[in-house]
Amino acid sequence: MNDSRTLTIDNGISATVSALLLSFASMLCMAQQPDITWSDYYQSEQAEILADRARQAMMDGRYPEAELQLDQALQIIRVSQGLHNPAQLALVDQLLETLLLQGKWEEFDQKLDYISWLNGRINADNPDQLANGLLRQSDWHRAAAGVIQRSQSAWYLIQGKYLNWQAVSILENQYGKQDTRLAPVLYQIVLEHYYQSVLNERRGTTSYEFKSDDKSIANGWMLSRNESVRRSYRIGRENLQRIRDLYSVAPGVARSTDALLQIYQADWEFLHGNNRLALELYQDAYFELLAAGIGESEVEGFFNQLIKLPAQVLQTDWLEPEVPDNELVLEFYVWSTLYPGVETPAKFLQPPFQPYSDDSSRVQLEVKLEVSGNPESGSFDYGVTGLNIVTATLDAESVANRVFAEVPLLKFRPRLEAGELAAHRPFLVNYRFARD
Amino acid sequence: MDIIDRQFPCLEKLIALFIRDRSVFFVPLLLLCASCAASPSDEASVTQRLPTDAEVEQHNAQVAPEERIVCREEIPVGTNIPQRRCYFAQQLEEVGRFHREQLRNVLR
Repeated sequence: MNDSRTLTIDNGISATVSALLLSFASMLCMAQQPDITWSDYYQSEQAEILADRARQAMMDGRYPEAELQLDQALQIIRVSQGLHNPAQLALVDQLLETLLLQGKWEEFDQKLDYISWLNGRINADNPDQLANGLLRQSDWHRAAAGVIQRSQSAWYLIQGKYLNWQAVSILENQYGKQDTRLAPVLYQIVLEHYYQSVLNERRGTTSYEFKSDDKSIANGWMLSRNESVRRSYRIGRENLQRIRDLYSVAPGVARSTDALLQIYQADWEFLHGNNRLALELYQDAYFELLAAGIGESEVEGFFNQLIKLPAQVLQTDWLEPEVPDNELVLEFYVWSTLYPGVETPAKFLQPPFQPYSDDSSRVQLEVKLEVSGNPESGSFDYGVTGLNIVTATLDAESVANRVFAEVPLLKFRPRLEAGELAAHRPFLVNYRFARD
Repeated sequence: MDIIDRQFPCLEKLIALFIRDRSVFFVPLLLLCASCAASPSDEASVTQRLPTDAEVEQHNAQVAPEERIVCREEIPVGTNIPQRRCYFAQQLEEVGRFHREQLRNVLR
């Protein structure tokens, strides 16, 4: 009897020891596993660890892994801090980037819808934050427009533009229709209309009024391409005039601001081939800057700068122009093959966005800008000439064909010397092609 | 003239007054011309102005697709001058459907 009880006790002790050894071993194994799937969504500090890992994975190009980790981090935040917690926004931003780079458009759209709902939910009583959220969503739509295949690029661009208009309406309700806070958003809409006008998606007819918010190309009213471009031109011109009117009635605005805004109007006319009107506006602005008390050397320096058009930032305050080095080198990241001659928006060259242009296929060029025709008669042009390839990372012949097709489409703000149109001395361009 | 004088006795007196002193009628005539030249009421002028392209786009960004406005240049029959016309999307949809049905009926 005692022997059987002893045996039972012995068996029990050995079973317990075995269980302890096994659990210890399993804990050791788990600690050594590099990719742990967190099943405990109540530990909010894990979200930060996962986000850091995801960032590293993104930098290493391991996008699926980054996506998984960010998704888990997002779930942890939602469970531990609430479904409407603003801490999710930064994670969704990173998640959108991974999805965009992987081309997972269905998931990308779902996350866009989610962030739209979240923004409306958490910022319902805060118009400023609500407008900022809409602008952020618009950035993501625009980012997608530069990456996605041609058939849907216009849809993303236009949806992004609608979000900007919604932000304008919110700011108007909050601050009134005469507030200068509307200016940057109105200018962003101007840029979007420029992108729309160069989009060579369909050369014949263009449908930019959609019957529904579906992505179907046929879902709209057909406008001829020329009509669509004219319409974009009119809206851009109207917005630029509105910006100028906003600053004309704002208190404490320097006289130089009106001249600077006139230059943007001149840029718009120049981009649309109205060279005579553009030159008149540039010259008016030149003399207005002088009349505003800006020194002649500073004004000359301003018009001597190399400004790629369309200028991506609305400058309303006079800043002393940078004096270029002896050898001027310009960086140019092509945004997309769908938007010829258009540079990647500056915002997309910084985190969380990543430049989508191909850094491995770049070329250094020597470029000259010259005047052709007769400016006095109004019939002239100002553009890229004298193109020379200095160095290239790809096969010379294929690069040459692309360079001579793409680079002449680039537009720069005309140089003025003593108020007259003047050529620009040769300069170097580090040109990065868009990914195919 | 006798019939008119009997029916409108005041008219003879007005004519006589006009012959004697035309300046009496100057101010009333001026006021009459000024009232005719007066601009229409603000409400009428607002309804006559079509929205600009930017205003249309801002409106379309806020509303459901069926409430969107489409403005386009049309050349009416009998002229070569394009005119800007604006429609609600719903209107265009209905007109298009109607025309397609009519065409189908005609071709049958």
